[in-house]
Amino acid sequence: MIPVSDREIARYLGYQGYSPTENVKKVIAEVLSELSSIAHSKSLYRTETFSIDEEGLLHLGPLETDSRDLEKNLRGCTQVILLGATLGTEVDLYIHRFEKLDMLKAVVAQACGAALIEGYVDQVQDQLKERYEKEGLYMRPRFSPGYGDFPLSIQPRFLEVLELSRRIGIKLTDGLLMIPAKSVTAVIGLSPSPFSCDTNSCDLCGRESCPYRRA
Amino acid sequence: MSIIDSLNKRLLFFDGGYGSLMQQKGLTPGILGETWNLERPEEVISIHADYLRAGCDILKSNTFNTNVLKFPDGDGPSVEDMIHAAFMNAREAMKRVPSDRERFIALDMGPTGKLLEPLGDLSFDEAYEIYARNVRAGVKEGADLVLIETMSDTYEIKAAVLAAKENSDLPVFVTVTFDENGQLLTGCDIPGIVALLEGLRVDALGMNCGLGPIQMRPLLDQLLSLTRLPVIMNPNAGLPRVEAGHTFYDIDANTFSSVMEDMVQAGVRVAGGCCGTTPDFIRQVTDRCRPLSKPLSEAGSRPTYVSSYARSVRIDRDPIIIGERINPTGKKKLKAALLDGDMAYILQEAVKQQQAGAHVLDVNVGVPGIDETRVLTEVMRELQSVTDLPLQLDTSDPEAMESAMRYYNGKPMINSVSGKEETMERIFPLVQKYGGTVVALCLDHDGIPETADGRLKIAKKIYETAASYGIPKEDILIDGLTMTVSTNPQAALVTLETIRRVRDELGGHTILGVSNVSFGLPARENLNSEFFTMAMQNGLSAAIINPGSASMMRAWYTFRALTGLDENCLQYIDQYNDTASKTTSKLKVVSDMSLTEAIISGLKEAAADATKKALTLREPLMIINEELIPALNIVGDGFEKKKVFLPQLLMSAEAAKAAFDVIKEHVLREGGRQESKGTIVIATVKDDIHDIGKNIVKTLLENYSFTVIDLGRDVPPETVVDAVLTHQARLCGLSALMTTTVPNMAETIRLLHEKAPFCRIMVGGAVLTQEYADAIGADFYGKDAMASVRYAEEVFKNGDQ
Repeated sequence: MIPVSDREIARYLGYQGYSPTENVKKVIAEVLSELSSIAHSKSLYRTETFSIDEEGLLHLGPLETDSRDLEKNLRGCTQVILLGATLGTEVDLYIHRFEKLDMLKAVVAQACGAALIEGYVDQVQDQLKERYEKEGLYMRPRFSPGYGDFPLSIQPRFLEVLELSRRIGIKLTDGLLMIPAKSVTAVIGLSPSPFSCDTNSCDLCGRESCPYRRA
Repeated sequence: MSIIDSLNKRLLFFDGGYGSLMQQKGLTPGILGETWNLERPEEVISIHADYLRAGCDILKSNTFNTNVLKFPDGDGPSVEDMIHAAFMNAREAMKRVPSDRERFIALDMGPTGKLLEPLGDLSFDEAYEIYARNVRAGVKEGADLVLIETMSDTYEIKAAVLAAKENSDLPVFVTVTFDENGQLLTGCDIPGIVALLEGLRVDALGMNCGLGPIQMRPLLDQLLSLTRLPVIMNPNAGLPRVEAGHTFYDIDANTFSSVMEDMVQAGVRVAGGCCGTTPDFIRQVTDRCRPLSKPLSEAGSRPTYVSSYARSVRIDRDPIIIGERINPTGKKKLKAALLDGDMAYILQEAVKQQQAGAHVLDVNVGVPGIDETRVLTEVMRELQSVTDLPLQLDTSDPEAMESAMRYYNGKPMINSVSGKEETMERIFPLVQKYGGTVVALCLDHDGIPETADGRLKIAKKIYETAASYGIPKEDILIDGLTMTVSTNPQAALVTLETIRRVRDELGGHTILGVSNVSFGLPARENLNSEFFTMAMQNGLSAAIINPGSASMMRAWYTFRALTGLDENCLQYIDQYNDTASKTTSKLKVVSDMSLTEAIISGLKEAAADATKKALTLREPLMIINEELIPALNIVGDGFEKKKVFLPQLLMSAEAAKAAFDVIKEHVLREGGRQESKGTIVIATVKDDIHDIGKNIVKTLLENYSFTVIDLGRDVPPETVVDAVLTHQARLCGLSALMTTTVPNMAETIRLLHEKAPFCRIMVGGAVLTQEYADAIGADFYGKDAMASVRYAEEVFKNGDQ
């Protein structure tokens, strides 16, 4: 079972800290259980060396980027985990189906799907954390293409390196969005020194009026 | 000698993996190995040569990723250059390693790397064109066969196979990638894949990649029990793990080849390897297996399946239910929905039938004056986006049938042919090309035979004609023809005798449209359900019925429970265990709730009931303007004041929609048209595929009686302009989710201002702000769905549309 936070679902639904009414809660429970049963969660990762060259270019194994925000996130790291994860096409199909049949369920499924993929990646990350801490490596919070100045344009290479398309079915659109939509690619830094993680991924985003912003 | 002749005579062996060997030789992960065809041809030749020395018979050209998406024109070597170089390399290797055995080069084609519509942004025709171009180039290079491999999407497979068959005469081999449960990434199972590929008349099929031979072994047994075709197995060298940037596989050549030997003994005809296998793996496989070589034996009869992209349905002794509701004959509302392009109604009908227990849905859009070719394909595609049930394509228009069969994702049922030659001449070639299981009516130019003998004679003739097109008996469902007992008391008996004898004497499958039996008699359900039971008892394989009928479904559940088809009666129990409580809950409390209250509380059924009541007292327009919209406004105000949140707003919107549906039906019955407040074109801009926000806006706008022309997502600027001009729409709504697609929104706005200056433009979406909207020239920024409704009301408030 993928752990899912009710509060996250409510946040994705725009509740801004309020609690959903009972009848909405019922729909959430129903959709969440249906989605959980059809989700085919899959993930893939590989560990690569991490270095910064004299021109400030970040080398994540075979990937290169000059993202300053990622650099901040990876400060002190010697290796990185490149991670891809998805809930599979069934969840997308479910959302599409209900966009045509029942918008309420579609919107709730959108929120539950978002919470599920985040919950799934958290789960995968917890397993990795345990494994790497035994080796004396500590994980940084995950950082995805599209966060801050880490550009989406890295996605085609990112997907090729992990063979995400043929191994777990994550593909890109012309606009570099992932399908299945409920998919995540992320870089997780590994550092020999422990790191207390209390940053909030919303801090990096300039859109302060966003209704989904974490307080 | 062609590869097919060789395959009939002996076992054949594929080569192994390329990617990992190239990476050992210095290829950077993430760089396509095809680049080496031109940059480092010696390395490619040497890998090919090593595989030939290991004893393989078929080389895969190094072109797995070679397609125009990954090697765009005008940016380095073309697809044709690449394929040419790949074949030069393969031929050079053949020259260097001579052999007495005849050997072959396969044009290797992998997935495009993109996801097809409806989920993705690559159309079926685009995918077809991508593959067709490779096939044409492969033919020019003298390929011996086309290998389509590592496929995980049935629709992409279909595009690739059609491209291969329509652009060459080469044999086509297809291997797909299953997970350990025997499913593709897009959900299709093994019977579904076999149905699809045999339907498309490929020459051999099998599995590659994803799994090692040990994980593939149990899947192979299932595959062999289902297919008549030669089977290919190209597993990985076990399961992968990545360490320090390198991929390792978990079994060695010895284990690999011993499992392969076992698989060859089980019936595999073509063996080889995929990721992680090396020339040593292939050497051990050929050493162990070649001595087992023997001529191909004729495969016996196999079960019949029809399929969709994610589901297969077996047609056999266990009767299946084909939902008959998507057929406009005698259905006013469906007729209107088809003429108006009201997909929502049609899709609801499909979902209702699926929930009621249908296994396949019949789709007929035959309304006089309709463009059947366009509409049938469109409706079929929409249906495939909401239901995974296989469909039965039902039309007498051969052009409509061909279009629908071409674009159908899976192996459909086809309704229908008869003993008349011209129907078979029209339909069988299509079945031969696209695949399908065909309903065949026992009638011919002399009409419907009155005796079972006469009907069997026609059935035999149909089987024979089908066989001449290479269509096996298993893919024909003989319709014994249900006639009306009120005009001929023997009619039902003749029908039952026909289906029984088709089963017993001809060993065939049967189908009936059941309800005709009771025509002209009272309490038709009594006759229909009893006749249905009798037909099942006489061997009926499929029934075209209304799954919404409780008595028909009762007949089906009961029959299966009583004849050992429903193991431990589980489905029967599941269906009827809580009948008592179900009936009470269905005895709805007749609510006294007003329409306003029902909408505010978001209660669909109560809203529909209240509307029905209101319609006995007042005009539709009054109900809309004085109850429905004010109720929505109350909820909308709450939303704007942040007292009500999106889910509740939508709950009310769905309740309002239920009320509207009642009104619409009423208006239609009275012969009128629904009033509209004006026409609005909406779209999610080019390259953006997240359109849930736009769909929320659409739902609300329709609630407020606007006519919404929804162009969908990933819509080019020109398409938006065309639609605005065609509909003379005074308002256009655009949405964009990503920063990267806002420029496409700006371009759409620019073009609209230029070509359709009368049209106002509202924009919305996650990344937009008022400033952004101003900067790109929008007339209005809708911060949420309600804001868009308010703006639409303002634009259209002077009443002219």
